[in-house]
Amino acid sequence: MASRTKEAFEKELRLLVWELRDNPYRRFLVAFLLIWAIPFLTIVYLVMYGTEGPSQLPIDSTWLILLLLFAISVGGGLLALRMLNNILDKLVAYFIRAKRQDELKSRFVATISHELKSPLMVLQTNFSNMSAGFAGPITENQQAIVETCQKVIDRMDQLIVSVLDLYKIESGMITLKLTACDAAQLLQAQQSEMSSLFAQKGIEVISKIPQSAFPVRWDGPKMSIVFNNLLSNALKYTPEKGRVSTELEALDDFLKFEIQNAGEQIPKENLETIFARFEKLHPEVEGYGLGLAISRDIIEAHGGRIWAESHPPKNCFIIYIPKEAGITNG
Amino acid sequence: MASSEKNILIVEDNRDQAQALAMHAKGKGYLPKIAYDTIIALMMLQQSKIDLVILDLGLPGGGGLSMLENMKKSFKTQDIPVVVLTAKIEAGLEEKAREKGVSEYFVKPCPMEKLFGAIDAILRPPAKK
Repeated sequence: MASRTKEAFEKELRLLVWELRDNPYRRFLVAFLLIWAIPFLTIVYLVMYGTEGPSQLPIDSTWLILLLLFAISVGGGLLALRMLNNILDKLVAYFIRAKRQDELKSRFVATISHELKSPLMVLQTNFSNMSAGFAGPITENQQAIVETCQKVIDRMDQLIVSVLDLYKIESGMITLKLTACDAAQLLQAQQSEMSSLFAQKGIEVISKIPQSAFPVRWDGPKMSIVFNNLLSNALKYTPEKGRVSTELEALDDFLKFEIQNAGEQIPKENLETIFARFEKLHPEVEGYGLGLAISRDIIEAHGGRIWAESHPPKNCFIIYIPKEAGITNG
Repeated sequence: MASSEKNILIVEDNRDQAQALAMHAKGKGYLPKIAYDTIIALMMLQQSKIDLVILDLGLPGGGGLSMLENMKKSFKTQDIPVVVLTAKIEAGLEEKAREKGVSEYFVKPCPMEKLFGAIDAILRPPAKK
């Protein structure tokens, strides 16, 4: 019985030692208590015996206190060094791990990109050859089938690009390349690129973009993606012969961009969820529900905000973004 | 097919892709040749008359960038226009390729009209009046 108790005690002690070795914070606590226990006990000793006369003390109390202070300083210094060493070890380990994760992320993006894009290109080239009649004569029905396949390839390509963009933005692999550009020009370029698509649906686009330049310091190509995403959404969700209005306004150091479209109202509970990945208001509408998520990431990387509002009979998307991008998303 | 004498060297390790590109080039009236790696490609460039190179960057035998460097070293090949067609999307890759004298840079999958539009612009420039 006694041996079992001893065994259990030894096991407990081993566990405690193991835990102390493994846990630097607990180790620090124990060392701290031990260091302070010595002066505490000394003070107790001095209070109890010191009043009866210093002659009873084995050595002069001043020397004793100085010795203790010295011991505390040395002990504290050693402890601090050890802790610093621990912290440095942990920091080095953290940076090594982070670097490795970055490398893995980069390799993942490169692999996915190559493995998905290469076969798509093979398909695209072959369908293009069939469509052009380079692989022999093609009937009208076959031509229609080939065109459908080509459209599917385009959509798959868009999905791959979007997913990779989102992954790169969210994992911090993309840094903004800030340059001096003109916000009005960026927006107008996207609008004129899409004007024929709006015209096909008979949608009237009312644009309140001042003719004067809006000098900003943004990542122009990425902000063009944002404007394109918002205009594409307006195109998809506005009924035929509907109306879309865009407005760009300068507010001190910020720019406010607003796009409104008359169409089916976004329910209040969806105003935020539509910015999540793969979220779409209507599953049947073309697209993968990534545009708003990517747009939000890009806007936030610039130090801005984007949100949706519902003002029946209109839906509004508002961007509030600094003229000089505040964050360089490292 | 006035440009039937123009030779295009397709440097691509994916055989299906290379053959499909060759078929398209042939359909467009060019004379395509295929090399599946950079060593063969450099040999072909030295031995035959090539007017343009369609180059994949992720290639065995040193990769597309080293092939560009080797092309620039040789008097015979340094002025041959190169059109890059790659699925690699490494940061700064396009800039590196352009620094090495690439004429056009396309990321896969790229519509054939776009790729051959650029090739036509290089090999069949509109006649000046």
